[in-house]
Amino acid sequence: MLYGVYEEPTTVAATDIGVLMCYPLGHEYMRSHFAFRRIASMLAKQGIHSMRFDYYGTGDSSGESREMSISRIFEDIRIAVEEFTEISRVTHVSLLGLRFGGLAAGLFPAGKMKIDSVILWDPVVEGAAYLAEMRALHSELSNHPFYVPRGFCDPLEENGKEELIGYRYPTDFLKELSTMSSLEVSACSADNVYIYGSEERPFYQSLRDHFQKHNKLRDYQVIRDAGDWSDLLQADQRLMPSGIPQAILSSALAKKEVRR
Amino acid sequence: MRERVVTFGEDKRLVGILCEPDTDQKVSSAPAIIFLNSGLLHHVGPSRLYVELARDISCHGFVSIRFDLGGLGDSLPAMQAKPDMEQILLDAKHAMDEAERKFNIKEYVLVGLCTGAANAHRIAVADVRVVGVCGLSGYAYPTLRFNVYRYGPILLNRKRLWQATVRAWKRFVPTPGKDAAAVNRENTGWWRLPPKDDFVFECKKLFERGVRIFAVFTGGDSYYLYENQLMDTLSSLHPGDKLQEKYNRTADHTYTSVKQRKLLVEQVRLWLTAGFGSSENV
Repeated sequence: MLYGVYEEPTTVAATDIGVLMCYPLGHEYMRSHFAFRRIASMLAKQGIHSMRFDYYGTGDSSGESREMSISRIFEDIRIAVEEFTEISRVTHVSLLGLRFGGLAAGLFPAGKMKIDSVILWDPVVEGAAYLAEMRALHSELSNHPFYVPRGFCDPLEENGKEELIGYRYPTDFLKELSTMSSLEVSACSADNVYIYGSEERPFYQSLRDHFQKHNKLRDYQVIRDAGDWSDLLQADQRLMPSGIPQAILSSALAKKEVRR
Repeated sequence: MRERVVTFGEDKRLVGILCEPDTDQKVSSAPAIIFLNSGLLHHVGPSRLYVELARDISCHGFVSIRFDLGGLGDSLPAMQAKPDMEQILLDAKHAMDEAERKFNIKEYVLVGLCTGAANAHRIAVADVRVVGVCGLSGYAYPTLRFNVYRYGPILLNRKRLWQATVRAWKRFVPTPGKDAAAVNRENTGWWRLPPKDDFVFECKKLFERGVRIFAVFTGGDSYYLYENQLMDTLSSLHPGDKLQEKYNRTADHTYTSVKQRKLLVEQVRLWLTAGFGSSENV
């Protein structure tokens, strides 16, 4: 069972546009919950439908993180798109992905599904680099006196699992994640890609150049905003962005037509 | 185990997840467990703690609701919002009413971490239907023994004493460019303990009603330094087995470690089953 929240437009002039939101993983999911809700509310005021959902093993969905897999995540997105279009009757679906959600949204094998656009917010570009970042953060946390006040906390031993900042993942899942790249030539089934970064990073520039080369890039902006994903002191802080949600709203409105 | 989404309250603005055991596992006399938001985190709890707890205790016969107070998580704020605490009490009442409507349960145990623990205490004081409070890193007060543990090592070490004096000076004395109000704001954290006498009085009322309290603290709670510190504060009330404490010394404030979280889930489950379900010792 997957948990999701559908938000219908709060204006009379509803559109036939929908945005499906793909969360980050782990502690970043906790950080971003409010931000996604706020964006949903902004979209609703502009007549845009939205849905945010928890992957299997996260949030309120069934299962545990130790059961996750990439194929399951893609299946979850597929189910979420189907559920979303059935409830909302939208004909234009965009995927909004933050961090790992951006990697998943960008690489989602849509098949016969029509995904109009992909909006990538501080996306993970290279799975291996992201994993290295998470491991470094976990190591820092494990040794920080605030988090381990009186001594080192030994992780629970479990074969085939690795613990990263509060969640245990299968090593196979992490191995597959480390091979993923948003720069895969054949990836991204959507024809329109929007990229928003909260800081300038070479990874985002590579992504921009990649989609520009394939004539899919519609917008690229670096807007100094809340993020700081590798900062341990931000790891448990609620994400409160101001500029990027506006940019996301503009990209979602690009296809706006009022539903009659 | 079965989980379903529920919406309740005025205009169905409050969102929660009902978690109920399989029919053959349900303990008919058990109270319903209500999970309260921890700070600004939504109803899954820090590192999904509330989800893990709810699913674990459902295997031992307990029904639970984890929900978002108005304005947090997936819940909408009230159209005519009342002052903070009054609104929290009202939202919690809606959650308890929902559990009663769905399961005909009239008694509740509140579980909360940090501000969730503080709210659990406040709601328990106000609502006689609450029969148990599980406060994770809730209220606690300095005792003589706490002060010895806290300040003894500093007083006995000249270097540390000097460093502490300098820190205290910088903290409490206004510096150029910083007015007294700003200094005071810096010194006032978001977590404010109520006056100790008020807290003791309220606990007295709770114990007289038969409310059971499980207070769990971590090494990340700088205001708690030894197991039974709260018992020492409340010793004049002679709570007996109505008050139980645990000190998870190597856990951080939000149980980031999977191992520590599993330990906490077990502790809470044992306390619930001993006090409200089938008998097992904590």
